[in-house]
Amino acid sequence: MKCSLCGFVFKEDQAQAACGNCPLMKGCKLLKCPNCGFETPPEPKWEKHLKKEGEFVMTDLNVNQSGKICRINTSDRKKLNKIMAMGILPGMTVTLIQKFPSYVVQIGQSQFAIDKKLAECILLGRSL
Amino acid sequence: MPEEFEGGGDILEISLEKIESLLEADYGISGRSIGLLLLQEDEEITALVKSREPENYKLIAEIVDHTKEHYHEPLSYIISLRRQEETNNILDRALEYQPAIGLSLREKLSRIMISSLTGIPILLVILYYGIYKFVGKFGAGVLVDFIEKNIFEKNINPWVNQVFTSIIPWHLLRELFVGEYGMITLGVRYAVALIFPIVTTFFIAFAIIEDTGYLPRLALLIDRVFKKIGLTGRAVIPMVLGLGCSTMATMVTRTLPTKRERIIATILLALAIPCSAQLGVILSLLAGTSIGLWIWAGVVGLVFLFIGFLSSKVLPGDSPSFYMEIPPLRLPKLFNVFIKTYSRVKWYFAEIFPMFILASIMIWIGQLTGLFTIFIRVLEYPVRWIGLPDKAAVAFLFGFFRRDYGAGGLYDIKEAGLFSTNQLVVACVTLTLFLPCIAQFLMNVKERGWKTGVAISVFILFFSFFVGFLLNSIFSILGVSL
Repeated sequence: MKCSLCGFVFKEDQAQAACGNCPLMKGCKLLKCPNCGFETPPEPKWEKHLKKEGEFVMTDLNVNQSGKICRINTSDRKKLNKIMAMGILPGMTVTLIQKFPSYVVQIGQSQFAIDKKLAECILLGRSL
Repeated sequence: MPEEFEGGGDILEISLEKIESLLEADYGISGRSIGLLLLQEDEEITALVKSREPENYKLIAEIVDHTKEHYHEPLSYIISLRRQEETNNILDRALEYQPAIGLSLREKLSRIMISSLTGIPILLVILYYGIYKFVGKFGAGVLVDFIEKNIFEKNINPWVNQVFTSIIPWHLLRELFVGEYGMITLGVRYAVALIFPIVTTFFIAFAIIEDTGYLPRLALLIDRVFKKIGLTGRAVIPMVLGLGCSTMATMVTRTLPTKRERIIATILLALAIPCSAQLGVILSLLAGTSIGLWIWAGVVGLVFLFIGFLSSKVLPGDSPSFYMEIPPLRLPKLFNVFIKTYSRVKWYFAEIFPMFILASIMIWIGQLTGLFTIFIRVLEYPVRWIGLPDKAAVAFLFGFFRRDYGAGGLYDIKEAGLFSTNQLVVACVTLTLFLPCIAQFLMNVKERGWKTGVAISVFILFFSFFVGFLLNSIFSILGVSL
């Protein structure tokens, strides 16, 4: 889902990490953005369904599927630099070659192996 | 799309022009390049400009800050995007590209290598033929036997003995050259007959594996396991090189991005990665007992993972991320393999040959002064605790001068029939884990600093005997007799 304050895209299970040792965690349904800490209620199912056309994380791609990169989603400069160094930039088309043991992507004429943490920063657009 | 400035025009371009006009000193490259680096906040260039433009630097810094405010993302990202746009524009006009139909054989082979289902069996096959068969059996077996027996024992040793007996009448001085631990009969013999063939065959195998482009594929295959021990797949290169020469590999840990990874890799190289010389001798020591070989490999592998896991928990710092280009597979060129092997063996020999001679001299002095007898006495205790004959203490002491020196010492004891198979396995495990050789110790200190270098060695000294003790106890409690 996407944080409505800062626009950071994250998975719902990532949100728990931001809560830390909050004593009110039990029974609390709010999701905290790992980037800015803004709390929002989870998206209803119908909204998720409608959003299928939007952005999604590269790790959701199937093997041998391609997608067009629309955004690099990280606030970590070092990670961003690493991703840029591989030429993984918005507008480029990536093809996922394999998911396990490491993610392997084809971009242009080159192939890169990346781990899950980096792969999760790459957002693709659904419509190609 | 470039963001438009109020007056029309692109803020990035305008800022660049402004910076360019403010630069007065000569940098050897164009003002525009300097401007671009400043906007990307390159630390080195920023410091350089700060020192060379005492008057204008403040203004320049203001422009950079002002430009940054216009964008949500870092400027380096924005500039990369512009570059990519420009590249695509040029390529669209200049390049015609027809995507191939289906996968080429090269690509198919590559896919087989990187999938875990087929990749791991391929890795095992490469290890078996490349390391075990070629280095262990051919290098450490056939070649060593030939050089040692046919060249040294039959021709050189008797001749050298005779010559020195006639030149030097004093027994003590003669011992320095041709005695049991003499410079020629031990130092040169070990270097030429034992180490040379083993190291050469290893470097041939390594150069072939390297030139095919297999190493990055191995790195991605093993990344998940290495993440558990605080490293990434990238560390596979120093680790595999460590199987050749751990001293050289310790130097190569410089290629790892964080200090934490470098320390973990240094510990593991010093502790659990046997170098090719040691590996060769150990493989030939355990050649008669395949169960012994498996136990040795299992224990050393377990220690590798366990200590890696522990140090990744103990050492501070974030877990690293892994990314690596996978180049296409290529057929290695014979000439390149030859040149690489030649220069590595040359480098290696220039480094180690003096060490062998020095070690021989130090052993001679040590024996002459009785210092070694004391060291050996001290070492006899832990050696006894792990259930080995006292004579093995000598091998452990020499093991510090060169790892393979120690293993070579065990070889002599085994030839004399003083080891049971149990003892042989315990001795091999302990010696593999035991202190790195002097050269590697010095390299550890050089790369990691005094404190860390010495701390690693002290830890290893105790830990190796502890593992030996544990293994020996397990053998005797379970009543195992191999």
